[in-house]
Amino acid sequence: MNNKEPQKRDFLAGDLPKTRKAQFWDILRHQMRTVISSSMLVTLFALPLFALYIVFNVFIGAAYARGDGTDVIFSLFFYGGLLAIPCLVILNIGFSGAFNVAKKLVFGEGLLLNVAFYYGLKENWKKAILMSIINALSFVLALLGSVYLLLYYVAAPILVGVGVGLLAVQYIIIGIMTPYYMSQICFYQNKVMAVIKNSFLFALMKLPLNFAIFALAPGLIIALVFANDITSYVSMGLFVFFNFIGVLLWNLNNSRVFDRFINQDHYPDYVNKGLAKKEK
Amino acid sequence: MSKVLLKHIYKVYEGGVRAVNDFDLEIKDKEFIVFVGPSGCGKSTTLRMIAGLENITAGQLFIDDVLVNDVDSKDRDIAMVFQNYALYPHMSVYQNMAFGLKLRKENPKDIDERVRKATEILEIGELLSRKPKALSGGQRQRVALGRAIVREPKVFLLDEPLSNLDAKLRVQMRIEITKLHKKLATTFIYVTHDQTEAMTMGDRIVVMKDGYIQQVDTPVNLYENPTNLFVATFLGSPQMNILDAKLVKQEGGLAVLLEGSDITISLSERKAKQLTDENLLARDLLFGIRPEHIHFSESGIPAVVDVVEQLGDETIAYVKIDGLQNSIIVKGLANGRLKAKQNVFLKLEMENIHLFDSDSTNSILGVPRENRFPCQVKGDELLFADSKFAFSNNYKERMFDECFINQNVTLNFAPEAVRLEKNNPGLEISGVVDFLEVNTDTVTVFMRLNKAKPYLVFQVSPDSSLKVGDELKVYVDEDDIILRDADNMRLVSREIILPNACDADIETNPETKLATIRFGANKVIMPLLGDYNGHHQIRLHQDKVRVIFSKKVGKELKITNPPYDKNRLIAVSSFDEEMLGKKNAIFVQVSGIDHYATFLVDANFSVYKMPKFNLYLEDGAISVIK
Repeated sequence: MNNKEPQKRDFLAGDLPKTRKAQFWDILRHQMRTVISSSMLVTLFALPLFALYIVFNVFIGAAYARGDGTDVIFSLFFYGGLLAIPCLVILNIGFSGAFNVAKKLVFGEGLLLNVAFYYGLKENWKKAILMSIINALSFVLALLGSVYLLLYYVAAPILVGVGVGLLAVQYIIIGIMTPYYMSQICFYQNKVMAVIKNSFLFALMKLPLNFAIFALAPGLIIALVFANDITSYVSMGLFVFFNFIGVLLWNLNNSRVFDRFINQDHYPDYVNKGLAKKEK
Repeated sequence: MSKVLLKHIYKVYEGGVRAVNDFDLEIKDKEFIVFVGPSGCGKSTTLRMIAGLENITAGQLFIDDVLVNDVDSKDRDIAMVFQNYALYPHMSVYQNMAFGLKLRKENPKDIDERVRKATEILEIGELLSRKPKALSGGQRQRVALGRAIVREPKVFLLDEPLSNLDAKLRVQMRIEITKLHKKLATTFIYVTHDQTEAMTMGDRIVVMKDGYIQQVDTPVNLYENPTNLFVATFLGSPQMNILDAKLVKQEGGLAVLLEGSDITISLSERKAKQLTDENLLARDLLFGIRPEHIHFSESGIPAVVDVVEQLGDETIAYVKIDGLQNSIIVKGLANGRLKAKQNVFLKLEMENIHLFDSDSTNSILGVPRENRFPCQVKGDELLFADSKFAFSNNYKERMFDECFINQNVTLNFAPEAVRLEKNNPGLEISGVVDFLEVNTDTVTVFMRLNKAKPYLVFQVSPDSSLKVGDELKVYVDEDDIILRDADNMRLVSREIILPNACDADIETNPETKLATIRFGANKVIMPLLGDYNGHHQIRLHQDKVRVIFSKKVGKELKITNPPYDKNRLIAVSSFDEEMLGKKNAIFVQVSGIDHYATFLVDANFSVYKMPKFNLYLEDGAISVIK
């Protein structure tokens, strides 16, 4: 209960971070406990996926060790991919809680973590399911499609390259749309199709920046998972403690985009919410 | 509705330290009441007893007519704000405010709504995500207030909440808390040692000293009509000038003679009439006048300026009057021409003077703490002026029998106990309004009774239609009647006095005339009036006993027991006590007596110092009931 000496002067609205970038560092500096706790809450929803990954990693490793044919290995990938769909949906539903927490942090609204997380889940899980399924299908399609095409790499390398590229692009676009979708369902009341349409437009309109953020989250984690066994476990560790940083990054970016394309005209009170205001 | 009623509350710590004595107060719904007094006066202890953080030793505490003495703090529906904020450092402002509600398992939506509403009221919306370390003292205190607000309590308790803030911030927060009280329209109980806070914030102020209430009144009334020297000097800055004085007769009336000088100041007829005692001429008095009621003039009391303090908008001058030991403080508008060692003349506003008895330090002018009249108690009846009042059984059961034998009894009641309409059984007193004293908040009525002297004094609101000369009937509830003896000792207890009676076997030695009396586990050998043998009913007299102090307590109190006969001791264990003045009524368990026995012992003894002890029975302590 022993507080440090009070500050000499009041904390004013003008002392809040002035940009979303500054806000990102401000949250990391002052709310690290919330960031880690939120990450661990999301991890609860990632447990099926982790279990699946570990099991299939062992199976596939054993198949390679036994010198099984590509058909066996592909079939393992195929069944693993199919089973990954519900696991990914569950994980994405978990993210709907995390996005609500991130919204409150970004808006400086104050929160009780468990309550905000649970509230996000309760309010948004139905809407989150659709995008989660799309995202999961897209990911599995990209994964399985790439594995399948790579079987023919020697025969037609250019075609395989194009095919893998297209599969990757479709996932990147869906992958960028997903956080826009999740943010929107936390921020606004809108029809699902309208939210999907908006997410698609936002994903394309700011594609370079969106791609850069996507490369960090979840790109970096995915890359580490598929790099090798060691990095895959490192990525799991990073995910457990810091996955919420990705959610936060997306939320800060999305707030800026929404301010420009939605809030300015329709919800002026939300423009730059949580950032420093000019003192009267 | 959030009324708080404290009925004769006591707090005695182990070892007999009395922190709060006979605290009797009704705090009205939505009232902002301030407890003020120096350190150690018991104000915080009283607040903590209301909060349930301290046990109540004796007395009753009601919140909304529900007795809460044994109700847990968390179930009393109160919220407390502390001087040191008591915020959780690892939680954000939002979490700090919501934490209490979360523990109570309130609906999360409700929690959020309440926190947001409180932050709107306190204008701390931008702080919600911040932790206490990022906030200033004022902001931390606002968060602490917010945490109290979200609980939507019946009563807010604030324990010196502004003491940790700097002077500028204190002023700002003072205003904010006052505004908050208006917005929330809830009962606020505020503890402070700062008289400025008390005067500016409270609807009423309770001034405390040494665990006793000194006066309860509106800020203006306290300032204008202090009932004793402590209140007079505690409130006001610079404090009231106090000079030794005597009341003398002079041509045309009374005057005040300032001791050490030959200065006499005539007392106006109006002030002279307000004197509460007519036998003051020979007594040492204290003359009080506030610095702002003394002015420099062309003529008057000659004085020399000692020190001048220029405060910008006003000047405070310390002046010396020939013959007087202490300087007199004069406060007035800025006066740049005033210089040290300058000869000046002083003029006193005689309508604003105060006189105190130097022994009791009580005010002898204006509104007395209690109206006091000689009266007679005959059997079940009180005879006073032209009135006669039959006590109810409930009242009679609380009277100490022995006290009324050959006693000059006085009838006492507080001015605020006087009612213009009859509500409950009690005294009905007729009289004529002799004069009215109009104050800022109230009008003081001086009512002349037919025979009894002095005036019956009470206060009415300024809207009252009472006029001088009005014939009037006023009423005092039986519960508000206090009977005292000549030494000001209360003669009526708050507890029922049971007859100290029991069955005993008595055996009288015909030679020594000493009776061996056995009751319960007790065996005493002492003379009895009359030769008794066999089984009898006896009675132990309340005031014929003496406490035998243990060595340890006797050493502590520096009391040596006079020689005593061990055959006359009875062992008792205490339930409670009630300080009456020069005597202490003790309620004890005595073997052989059902329920409890009541005795009157010297006031220097407290059962809290020695819960189990021996009582020595003096001659006549036991009589046989025939």
